[in-house]
Order: sequence, then C-alpha cells, then structure tokens
Amino acid sequence: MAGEKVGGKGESELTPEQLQETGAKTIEAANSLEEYERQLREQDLNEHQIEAMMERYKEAHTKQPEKREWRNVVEYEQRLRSEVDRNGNPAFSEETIENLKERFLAGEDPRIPGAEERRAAIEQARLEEQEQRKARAEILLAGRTPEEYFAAMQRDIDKLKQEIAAMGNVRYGDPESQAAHERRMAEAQQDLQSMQEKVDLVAEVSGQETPEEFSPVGGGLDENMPMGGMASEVGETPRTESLENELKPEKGYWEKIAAYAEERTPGSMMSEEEKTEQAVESEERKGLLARVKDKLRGRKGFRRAMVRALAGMAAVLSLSGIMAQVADAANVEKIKGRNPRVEYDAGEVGDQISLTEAEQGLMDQINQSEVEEDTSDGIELGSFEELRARGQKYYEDINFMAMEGSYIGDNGLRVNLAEAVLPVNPDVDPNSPEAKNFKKSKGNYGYSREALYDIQDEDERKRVVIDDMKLALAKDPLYLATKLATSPQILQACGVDESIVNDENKIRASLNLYETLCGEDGAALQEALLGAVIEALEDSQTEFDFYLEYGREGTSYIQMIDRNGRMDDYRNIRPAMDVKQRDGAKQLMVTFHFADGSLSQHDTNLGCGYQVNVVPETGEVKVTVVNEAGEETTPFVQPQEVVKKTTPEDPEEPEDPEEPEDPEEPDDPEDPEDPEEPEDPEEPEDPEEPEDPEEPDDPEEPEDPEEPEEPEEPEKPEETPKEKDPENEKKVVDDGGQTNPNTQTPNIDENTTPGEIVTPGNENEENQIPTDEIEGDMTGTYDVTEEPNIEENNEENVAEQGIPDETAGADEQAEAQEAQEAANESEEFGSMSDDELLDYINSL
Amino acid sequence: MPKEKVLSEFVERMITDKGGEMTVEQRTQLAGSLSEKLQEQIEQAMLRMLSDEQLVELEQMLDAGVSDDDLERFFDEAGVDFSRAAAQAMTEFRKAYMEVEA
Repeated sequence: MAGEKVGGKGESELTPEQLQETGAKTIEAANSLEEYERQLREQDLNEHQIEAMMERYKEAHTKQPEKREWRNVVEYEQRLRSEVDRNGNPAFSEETIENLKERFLAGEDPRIPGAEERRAAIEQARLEEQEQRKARAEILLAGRTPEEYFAAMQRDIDKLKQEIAAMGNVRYGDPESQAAHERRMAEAQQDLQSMQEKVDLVAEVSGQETPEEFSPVGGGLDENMPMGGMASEVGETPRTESLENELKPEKGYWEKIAAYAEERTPGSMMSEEEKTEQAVESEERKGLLARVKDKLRGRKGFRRAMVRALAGMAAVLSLSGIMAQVADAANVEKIKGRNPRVEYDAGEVGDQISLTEAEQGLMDQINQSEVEEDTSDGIELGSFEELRARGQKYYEDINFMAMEGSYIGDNGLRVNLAEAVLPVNPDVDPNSPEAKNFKKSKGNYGYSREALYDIQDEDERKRVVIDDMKLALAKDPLYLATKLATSPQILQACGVDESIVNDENKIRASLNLYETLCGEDGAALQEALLGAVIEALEDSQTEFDFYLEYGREGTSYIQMIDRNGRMDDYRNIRPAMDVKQRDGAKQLMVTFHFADGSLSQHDTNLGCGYQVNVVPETGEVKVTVVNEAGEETTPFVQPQEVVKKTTPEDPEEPEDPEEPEDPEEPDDPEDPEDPEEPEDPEEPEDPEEPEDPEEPDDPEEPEDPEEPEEPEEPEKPEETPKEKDPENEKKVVDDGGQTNPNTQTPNIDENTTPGEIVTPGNENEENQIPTDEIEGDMTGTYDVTEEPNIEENNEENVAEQGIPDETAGADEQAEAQEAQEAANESEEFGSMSDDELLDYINSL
Repeated sequence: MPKEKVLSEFVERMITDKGGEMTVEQRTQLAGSLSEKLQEQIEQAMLRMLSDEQLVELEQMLDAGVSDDDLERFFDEAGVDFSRAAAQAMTEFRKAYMEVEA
C-alpha cells in the first residue's frame, strides 16, 4: 500500500541512490505504520476509527518522499520557502534558509527542519481530540448503548421540536415580551442544534452512522408552521424507547449540575441594567423578599412551582433513577406549561403533545406526591355542589352500576347491599364466620375487615382502608348514614337538618339521616355526603388507629323493618343499635381533622364491615369531638393491644357539665318518631330469647378479679373524655330511661368508684364463654346478652338492643326496669342450671 | 416523592462526597437538616429571580388571598427560568457545605 505510492509520480526520474533512499523510507514508513496500528489498537478504538486514523497516517507518510524530491539546491530552497507556520507566515528566516542551503551543498541532508515534529504534533493533536470526543461521548452515553442513547435523544428532540413549534404560534403584542419570546425561541433552536451535534458525536465515536431517524427527513411537524421548518431539520422520530432505559445512573453528576447552573446565569433574560440593579439588593427589596417569602410559607402554589423547577432541572440533567422519571414527566409538563399563553391547536400540536400512558402515570405520580407532601391544614369542605360533584365522579370512576347487586332506588339513591344479604346468599358457606355472624333479622355491614389489622405496612394499610371504606360508603347508604352521623362538620357542609347534626344520639341521628337519604332529595345528598367523606378520608391529616377493644359498647347494625322482606331493599332496612361486649375485637378509630380545628371520630368494628360503635345506651360518639372553643379533649391515642376499659368506667371529667344530655332521654317518649318504631310490636317475642345458651356465662363476669392489663389503664382517663356518670346512669334507669332489658354486665353495678376500671369478667380464660358456644363471630365480639337463635319465622326483639330511648313506651320502660333489676340479680345465674335459667327468663 | 427524591439524592451525594465518619442516625439527621436548608435556599433563589415589580404584585396577590392555582400561574408566567435558579442555588449550597470544616 505505501510502497505503491512511493513508487508513484516521479519514480522513473529518481537516481538509483534516490530510489534506494526512497525504498528505505518506505520500509521505515511501513514499520512505523505497524507500530502506529499497534498503538492504536492498544487505545481501545474500534475498527472504523483505527482504519480512519491509519489512512491519515499513511497519507502523511506517503507525501514524505515527494517532499524529498528536490533534485538540486534550487528546488530545496523553493521547498524551504514554501513552508509556513500555523499563522501562514514563512517558517524559516532568510538566515536559516541560507544555512540550510550551505549544508545541502555540502552533501548533508538537512531535510525540512521541524517538518517531522509538526507532523507528529498534528497527529498527536488529532489523537487527543479523538480522545476528548470519545470521553465526551462516554459522558453522553452515560453507560447506555449508542442505540439507547439515540432513542433517548430522539424522544427529547421530539419534545423540543413540539415545543418550538408551539412557541412559533405565539406572538406578543408587547414588543418587550415578543423580544423575550424570540430569545427563548432562539435558545430552543440552539438547544436543538446542540442535541443534534451530540447525536453526531456519539455516532462518530461509536463508529455508527447517524441514525436514519435523525436525518432531516421532515416529520410530523408542519414545515409551514412558524419554526416548523427548522424543527423538521431534526426530523420526526418515532418513540421506540421504554422509560426504563432512561433510568440508568449517569456519570458526572456534580459536573452536570454545576455546568447547568453556570451555563446561563439565572436571570439571563434580564438586561444588564436589571442584573446590576438586582445584584445590589436594596434594603427595601430585602424587606419585600422577606415579607413575600413569609407569606408564601406553606402555599401549595409556590410549592408546585418549586417542584416544577426541580423537575425541570432534573429533566435537563437527567441525573439518575427517579430524577430521570421526574425529568421525563417534567419535560412533558414543560411543553405544556412553559408558556401558559400558548394556545395549542388541538388538531395539530395538541395531538403531538398528548401524554403517553407512561408519562401520564409519572405526571400522576408527581401530582400525587405534591398532594402527599402538602401538609394539610385540615379538611376544608367545599360547597354542596362541589362535594356532590366529587361524589358523582367517584360513582363514575367505580362504574357503580356495573357492580353486582347495584341498583337505583325510586328516589335515585344508589344502593348496593350485596354484602348485607350475605347470609342468604346460597353461595356462601353457612358455616363460614361471615354467615355465622349473621342473623336473620340483622343485616351485615359487610365482610370482616379484621385482616386489615394485621397489615404491617402502615402506609399500605391506610391506602387499603381508604379505598375499601370509600367503596363501602358508596355502596351502602345506611352505612353512609351511620358513619357520617358522627361527623357534624360533614353533615353541616352538606346541608343536613340541624336537628340531625346536633343530635348527640348518633344512632338516632343516623336513623333520621338515613330516612332523609331515602327521601325526595336523598340521591343528591348521598352524592354530597360521599364526596365529603372522600375528601375527609383522603386528607393527609386523617388518622387511622387500629386497636383491640375489650369494653362494652353500642354498635350499629342493619335492622330489617319487615322480617319477611328483602334485606337488600333499602326501604326495608334502617340503622339500629346493639350492645356488644368486645373481648379483644379488632377495631379502627378514624379521626378527621378539620381546618377550623375541630375533629370528628368514628370508632368502627372491623369484624363486621366497619360498623360504627357508640357509647352504649346513649348512642353518643365514643370519643368527644373537640369543641369550637378549642377545648381539645385528648384525641384518641392508639392503644395498640392495650386493654380499653369498659365504657361506663371511662372518666368523664370534661363532659360532666354536659351531662344534661341525659335528661333528654325522658323526652324520647315524646318523640314523634316513637310511634314509627317497629320494634314495639316485636317486644312480645322476647320470650323466645330463652334459647340462648350462653347466658349463664354472663353471671360469671363479676367474679373476675383484677385484670392484668389494668396497669395500663391509667392513661385512659385522659383519653376518653366522655364517661358515663354512674349516678346519672342509675338515675336514667330509675326513671325508666334505660330500655335495654338485656342482662347487663354485672360489674357495672359493682363499679362504685367513678372512673374505676373494671375488667369484664370474661377476660379471664376460665370465665370466658367456650368458643364452641359462641354464637356468631368469634372475633372478640359478642352480645352482652345472648341473642337467641331465632327459629324460622320467629321475630327477634331487636328493640331491646335497638335505639334505647326512642323505642321505649312506658310499659316497655317498666319492663326494661324489671329487666335491669333482673340483671342486677344475674349473679345468681351462675348457680342456675340451664333449665332453671330458661324458666327464669321465660318468667320475665 | 419526586421533589424530596431530587433533594435527598443531591444531599446524600453531597454528604458522601465530603465523607467523614458518622453513625446512621447522625447521617439521617444531617441529611434531613441539609434537605430542609437546601429547600429554603431554592425557595429564596426563586424569589430573588423576581423583579421588584413582580414581588410587589405577588405580595398584593397574597394579601388579597390569591388561590393556589393563581399563585402557581403567577410563577409559570413570570418569565423566569426557575429551574436554573434552583440548579444555581444547589450548586452554591454544595460548595458552601464542602467548604465548611467538619
């Protein structure tokens, strides 16, 4: 190869000596070429690069003989004078030329001084440049393959093209704004050019052709659009890369940030005069800055702007992992939001900037994170219409009507009581806990949610609860009524009648609320209530405290109005109260914090859907709501496995002055709703109760000594603000207000010291009801007085466990009084045989 | 959260680069503290990008109870490259941290 050229032009004219010299030079060149190639291969260059560099080397060496073809001093002098330095000036002075000529004439071979060095220097410079380009390409590649890089750049270029095209559609009337806009467009064009150069560099260094996609083939942009022509130079490129390929960590983290920060000083859009002004901050400006900063504290709008700034930075830098994700999403956001005044043409650019599914997901992630990071100042409920719209949207989102069991009531109410009819569902195993937990006349709020208690990941558990609870509330209007009856703030926001809002008896309030829902405008109210409770559940301050309950408490249940009717007929059910003794039942306390500083709490039993718990007998919320005066009763503190004392023993220090609520009970008989209570006629069926086999267990309770958990109880007095006043309670009973004829937990009567903690007797294993005798669920909850196994067609007297005060007539109250007395005697039950007990109960 | 991720990654790298022995707890505490300060610096840098007129306008808007959406729009339309301001603030913050003697 080199030899051929050596013997080229002028070879025949060489003297034998010259030919010999040329041959030697050729061999020398060949040897050098081999050495050069060896060196190149040591430098980890690819074949393409090596060939290119060797070609240049050969070119340089093959010219050498030609330069030596001066046959006489004249030609040598001409060659010397033709040499120039890098600035184009003569390379040799006259004196040097004369000296060299003398040496030539003296038979020496002075050649062209410095020529070799220059060639070597040039070659070295080429190598260095090559190395630099290679290093730069490595930075650009950041561990990716060239193909991956091209795909990523292709996407960025696509986006930038769209941005430029969109910007081209904008024109400002204000000259200054227009000028700034044009500068931004020019910068965008520079960015585009820079991106193209990077692609070329990587292509060259990697020995690949510039991908077809980057060739100027036009593309999706309309070249007639402003800027479209320029954008088309880059070409439209299809998306081929998954986001995952962008998540590889990059090198040069700090360098990138620093370079980005210095690339253009912030405020580069400002004039020099403005920059100078801003550089020297006046005291006035400092004050202004401080004030504004202070006023911006906690503002979501500013926080979002900051998030966008960071995302935009990450977008440019594509720093790594999650930042690349942010960057990707932020790029899209930038396209949409860089200039809000841009009016996109939905038919052209608008289509092009539509988000891919992945991008939308990332945007949602960012938006979600913004919501999460915002520290809520408490729940702020919007207008009725806003809340209603939210509820409507949720129904749309879950495609409510597509759910099995969904139907629309005659007043438009959305109903799905599929879970409530569980026990009559032939597909359900009658021996399953759910089915056993169910009674013919009582609806089930839903499947057991006790599994939630055991979810270890608290965030995950919270997420599951929120989703599940929203769904349950959307499906079951009765559950919606009972849950929200405990939240006057929500009721008020939804325009519910004040008598319901202010009713301390939450079971009664839920009954009236449910009736309202079943009324003419019930559907709209249902939507608004659902929207409000979704707002509350999703608020970042809302607390979900899981705990075990060992106390006695009232709890709501679904009561059938017509026992022969359908359980899933929303007009055939209503909320009522039962009294349960919890013995380690898994429960959940939900606390809503409102912006006005108030809160509402909802104690729910997980064993039966999310049935709402209240104070027994009174139906009050178990934990007091903070009043507007800011007298915050200690909110519920998650006891986590801590035994809660039974409700009657809860100290009521702050509530005592409010106890006059109890006197309301005597008013119940005057309540116009009393006649509507269906429980009244059911009373005669009480005698069917004797079937209860567990009754004998109750009397054992008083025998219970001190509970081992009691030492933990001292915390309770501060946590539970509302406590029944034993004296007052007794008064209510004496007055006939106590309508619950169930055998009371005996130790209540033994509790002579207010606030004293008395542990339910059944906590001692020896006193517990044998599990095989427990009727219904075995989840730590059972009726305070056993519920009978109702024979087919027999009616259960739910009034005895229903809303106490409203349902009781004078006769009933007398009966209740007797029952209460019987309860007081229940200690004797322990010595009775089953038959004796049955006879005794029948005698009642 | 992306914002926290950006800041925490930045701070974590910064701490790693500077080195120094510390317990996991100390490091966590330091990272949290630095993240907070960094966020403040970024906020400050963003505000400093606004002209006096813009600051006055912003203050008036805040006094008038501007909504968060409008507030966000204000920053969007301010014509300022806040991303670069954030980058500069972060760079300066790092420089200051690296120069501080442990």
